[in-house]
Amino acid sequence: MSTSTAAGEPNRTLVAAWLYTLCFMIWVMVGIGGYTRETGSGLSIMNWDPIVGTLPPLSTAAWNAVFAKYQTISQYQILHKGMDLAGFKTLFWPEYIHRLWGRLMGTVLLLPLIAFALTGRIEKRLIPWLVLLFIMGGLQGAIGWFMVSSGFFAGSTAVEPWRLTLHFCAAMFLYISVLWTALTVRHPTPAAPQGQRRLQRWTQLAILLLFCAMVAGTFVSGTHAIDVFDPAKAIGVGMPPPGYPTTSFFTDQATILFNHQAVATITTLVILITATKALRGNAPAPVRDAGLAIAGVVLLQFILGVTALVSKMLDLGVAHQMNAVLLLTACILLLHRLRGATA
Amino acid sequence: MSGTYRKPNKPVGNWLIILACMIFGMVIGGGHARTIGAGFSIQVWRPITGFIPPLNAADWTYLFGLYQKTAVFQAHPITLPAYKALFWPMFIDRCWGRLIALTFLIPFVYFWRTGQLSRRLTLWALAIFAAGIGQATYGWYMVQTAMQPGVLSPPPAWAGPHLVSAMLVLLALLWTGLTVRNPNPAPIPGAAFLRRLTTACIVLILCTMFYGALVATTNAITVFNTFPTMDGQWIPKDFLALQPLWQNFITNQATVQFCHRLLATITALTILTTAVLGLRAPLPPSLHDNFLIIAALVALQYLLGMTTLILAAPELGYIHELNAVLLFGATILARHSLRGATGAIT
Repeated sequence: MSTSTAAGEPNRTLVAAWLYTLCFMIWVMVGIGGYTRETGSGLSIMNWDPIVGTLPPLSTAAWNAVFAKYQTISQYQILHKGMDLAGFKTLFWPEYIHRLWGRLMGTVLLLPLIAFALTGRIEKRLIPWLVLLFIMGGLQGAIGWFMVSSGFFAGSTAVEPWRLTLHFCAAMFLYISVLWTALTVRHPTPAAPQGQRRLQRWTQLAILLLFCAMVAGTFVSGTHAIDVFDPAKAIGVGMPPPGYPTTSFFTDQATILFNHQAVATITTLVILITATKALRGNAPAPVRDAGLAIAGVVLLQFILGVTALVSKMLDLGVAHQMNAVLLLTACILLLHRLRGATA
Repeated sequence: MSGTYRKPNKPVGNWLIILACMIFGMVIGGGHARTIGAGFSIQVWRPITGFIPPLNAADWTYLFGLYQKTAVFQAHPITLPAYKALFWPMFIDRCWGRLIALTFLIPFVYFWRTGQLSRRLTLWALAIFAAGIGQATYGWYMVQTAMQPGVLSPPPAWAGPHLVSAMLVLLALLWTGLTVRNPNPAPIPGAAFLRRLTTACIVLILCTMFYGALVATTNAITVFNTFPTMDGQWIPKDFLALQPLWQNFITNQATVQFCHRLLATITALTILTTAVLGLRAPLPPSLHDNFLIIAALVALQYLLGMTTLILAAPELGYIHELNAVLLFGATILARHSLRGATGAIT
C-alpha cells in the first residue's frame, strides 16, 4: 500500500468508477425528471425540506394533509378536480422519487469523497473541485424548488418553462463537469492525435449546437408543444408556422416546436459530418469508435424525436430526453479523446 | 479460382454497369407511372414498333378506346387530355425498356465480334438479356389484368415480383460489370464474417423491397398513418382477416404494411450493425467509405419511410422507393469489394 499513490493506476480507476457511477445517476435523474415533467407530477409536493423531506407521508393523516394542501392550488382546481387520494399518489411518487434520488446522489458524492480524501486515494487538487460540484448539486436542488414554486400561482397548471430550462441546463453543466473529470482521472495523459485539429473544432461546434438543440427541447417539453402537432395543418412537420419569426419564441407552441426541429436537424447534420470526418480520416481507433458512437446515437435521437412527436407517447419523449444525454456523452467522449489534437 | 489471373476489361465492365444504371432509370420511370396511376394506360404491346407514338387522332381514338374497356376507366371515367397525361409517362417507360435492349444488343455484338467476351460471359450476358425480355413480357401480362373486373391498378401479386425480378437483373448486371472490371479480388484477411453479413443485408433488402412493392400496390399507405404503433396497436386490427391465410400476406393492407415495417426495421438494424462492424474492421479506405454511404442511405431510408407513412404521401413513397434501389446498389458494391475476404487473420 505504501507504494500506491493517489495518482496511481488502481486509485485512479477506483475514483473514475465512482465518478462514472455519479454520471449514471445523473442520467437516471434526467429520466425521472423527464417522467415527472411528462406526467405533470412536479407540483404534487408543495414544501422543500431538504432533510426532513426524505421521508414520505407515513400515516393516513399525513397523506390527507399533503393532499389537502395540493387541493388548494390551481393545477388541482383546473386539471384534477375531484381526484381521489389514490390518484394524487400517482402524482406524488414520481416527484418524491425525483427528490429522493437527488438526496441519494448527494450522499454518493459526499461519503466516498470523504473516505477517499481520508485514505489518500484521491488527488488533493480534485478535492476542492468535487466539493464545488457537491455545492452545485445542492444549488441544483434549490433551482428545482425555484422552478416548482413557480407553478403554485393562481391560474397556473405547470411550472414556468424558462425555469425548467434553467433546471435542465444546470443539470447538464453538472453532468459535463463530472463526466469530464471522470474521463480525465481515467485517462490523465491527452492522446494528442495527429492531424485531428479540424475534427476537434467540428466536435466543439457539434456540442455547442447540441446544447442549443437541447435547450430548445426543454421548451418543447416545458410547454408540451407537441400537442399542436398536426400534419394536416402543416404544423410540426418542419415548416415554420404562419407569421414566423414574428411569433413568440418562448410561448407560441408551434414556434417552439419548429425551433427545436430546425436546430435539431442542423445539429444532426453537423454531428453526422463530424462522425464522417472521424471515420474517413486517419484517426486512431478510439477516435473512430467515438465517431461511430455519435453517429449511431444521433440517428437514434432523430428517429426517437420524430417518433415521440408523431405518436405523442410520453415514454418516448422521456427516452428522447435520456438519449439526448447519451448523445452529449458520446460527443464529450469524442472531444476528450481529441485532447491535444495537432493540426 | 482466385489462383489464376484474369485480365480486367474496363469497356465491357462499364457497359454492364451502365445497363445496371439504366435499370435504375427504369425504376424511376416505372415508379412514377405507378405513383400517378398510369400503369394500365396502354392496353397494347408491340415490342418492336411500339416506339412510334400515336401520330393522329385515329391512333389516339384506338388507344383510348382500348383503355375505355378497362375496369379502372369504367370506375373512374376520364377525358382524352387526362388520358394523354397518363399515357405519356407509361409510353416513355416502355421506350426506355427498348433503349435498354438496344444498349445491350449493339455493344454485345461488337464485344462478341471482337472476341472480348469469354464463352461463359457470352452465355451469362445472354441469360441476363433473356431475363430482361422476360421482365418486359411479364410486365405486359400484368398490364392486361386491367381487363379483369374490379382490378383498378396492377395487382400486388403481380407488381411485387416485377420489382424484385428487376432488382435481380440489376444485381446480375452490376455484379458482373464490377467483376469484369476487377476480376482479381485482393485478399482481405479476417473479413469473412462481414462478407456473410453483407450477403444477409442484400437478401433482407430484397425481402423488404418486395413488401414495399406490396404496400405501394395495395395502397396500404392510406391506412395506419401512425408510428411506431398501427393505430395504437402493435399488431394491427384485421391482421389475418382474409381467407385463405396466405392471401393476407399479399393483399391485406394491414398485414402487408405490418410485414414491411417489421422487415424494414430488421433490415435497417442488420445493415447498421454491418456498417458499424465494417467501419471498425481494418479494411481498405474505399470499403470504409462504402459502409459510411450504406449507413447514411439506410438511415435516410428509414426516415423517408416513417415520413411517407405519417404524411400518407405517395410522392415521398416514390422517393423512398428510389432510395431503396440506391441502398441496394451500395450494398452490392460493398459485397463485391468483400469477395476476397478470408476467414482468419494469419
